[in-house]
Amino acid sequence: MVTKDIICITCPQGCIIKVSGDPAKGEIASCEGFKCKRGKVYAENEFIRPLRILTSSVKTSGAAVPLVAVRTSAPIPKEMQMEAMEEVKKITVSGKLVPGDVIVKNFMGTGADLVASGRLD
Amino acid sequence: MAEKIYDVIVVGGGPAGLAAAVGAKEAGAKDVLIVERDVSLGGILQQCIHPGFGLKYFNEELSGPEYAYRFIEKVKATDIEVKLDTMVLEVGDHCVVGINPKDGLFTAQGKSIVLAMGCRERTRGAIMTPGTRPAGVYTAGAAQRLVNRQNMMVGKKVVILGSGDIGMIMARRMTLEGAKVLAVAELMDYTAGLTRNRVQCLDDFGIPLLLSHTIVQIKGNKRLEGVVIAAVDPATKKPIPGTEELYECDTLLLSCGLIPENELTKEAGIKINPITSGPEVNQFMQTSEEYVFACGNVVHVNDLVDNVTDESIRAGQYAAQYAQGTLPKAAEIPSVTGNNVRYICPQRICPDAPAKLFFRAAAPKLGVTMKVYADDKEIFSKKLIKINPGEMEHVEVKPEDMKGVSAIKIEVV
Repeated sequence: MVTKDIICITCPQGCIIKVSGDPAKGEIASCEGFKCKRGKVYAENEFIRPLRILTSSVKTSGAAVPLVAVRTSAPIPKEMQMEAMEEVKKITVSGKLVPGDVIVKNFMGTGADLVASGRLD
Repeated sequence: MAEKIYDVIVVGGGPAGLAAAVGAKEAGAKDVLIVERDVSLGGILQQCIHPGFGLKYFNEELSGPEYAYRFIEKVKATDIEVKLDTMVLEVGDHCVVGINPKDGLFTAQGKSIVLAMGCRERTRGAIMTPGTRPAGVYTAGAAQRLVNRQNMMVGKKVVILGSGDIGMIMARRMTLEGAKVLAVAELMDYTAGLTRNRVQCLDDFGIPLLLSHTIVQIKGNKRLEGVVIAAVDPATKKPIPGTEELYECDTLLLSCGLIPENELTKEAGIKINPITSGPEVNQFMQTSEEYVFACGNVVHVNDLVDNVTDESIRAGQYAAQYAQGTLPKAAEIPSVTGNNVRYICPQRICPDAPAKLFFRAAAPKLGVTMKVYADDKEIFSKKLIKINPGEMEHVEVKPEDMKGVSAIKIEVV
């Protein structure tokens, strides 16, 4: 049994959430101190497998601006962030994009898509 | 020259200006104009590609450009006029004097004017760090724009001075982009920015945070070669001799605070608050010049864009009411800072209407009580687990509690 104090990063309140259980088996025995549903989900994930939304930018071709902002549509495993950045660097986009447009479906097998977060005219 | 009279002219097309224009339009303003100096709307949000925006306002976690996009679309769906690439030179006498390549020098007349110019970063000159003047010293926001919008990497080995949110966010960005961030040095004995940014930007990447430390020397001639960091006495903030350590680096990012950008405001003779460095306002976001309203970071530096949006929509609505002659005029009472309160915004309150008071603590503390007084009478109290100057608090005061009262005071004990 492990107990961890997790500072929630979901919103600026920064609640300290106490989670105990067995992270290796993916078991949660108790989770206390959250003030919202998002906080509970965050703390439980953080205990078992930390997840983060990755944001970056990709190169454009034939556009007035050199970069367009991108993000993962859902959080991806934290330890994949650096590896994911290497993939993001290889991408070039063109044409029109608005926030939410999918650039890479099921990005690196995470189940999350890499989507545009900025606009490209 | 100026044939058209706008109901509301908004100076600045960032999050505050966009929300103010939308708010004004929704409140029935006829002709609304936004004047923006950049070539696109959205302001600083366009370079804030990280997530964390909109949790309060949209109940979703958005990136900066996504948040901006939603408001730009709202503006586009209306007949709000936008002048981009336009610098405002002067505000006064119900007029905005601007200049751009298309119109040249022009004057626009408005029944109300909303100031939404945002803020600017404190530079090396402003914090007076000694040493040589090599290339490689950037404000964190300038580096953020270069990296996130212009595809220019600013360096490989980085030290960051100041633990403001932009500094911590840039520590993560530089790491993700392949640079090595050696340390974040912070003069105070607490983090200046939000706790969650310390966790996800520094702790996640093992970036050391040196509290009660500062840079005492910048080294290098053409390019930055290193910085000397020393511990400071937490009480006096003076470097402690013998604690100096050289960090070899090619880049220094400064995240040492933001200053509301009020050149236009000052020239218009509008009263500025010495603590916030922004115009003093009432709960209608009305400045000392009654037809001039102000909102967002030009008034006081906010932690969250969601708060800026909220405040700016209100500013726009009240500016529209003023233009239509429906904004009530009344005697005002001051808001007064008590124990451990650095500032309160608004500084003036019209007691006939409810007022949302935003305030910041002077020093961080655990297990505190926030108390609100109408003169000597306690009208509200709330226990807080912690209070932190980096995180703005607010309280709402009702008109019935302000009847016949000469001042409202907030304290944290």
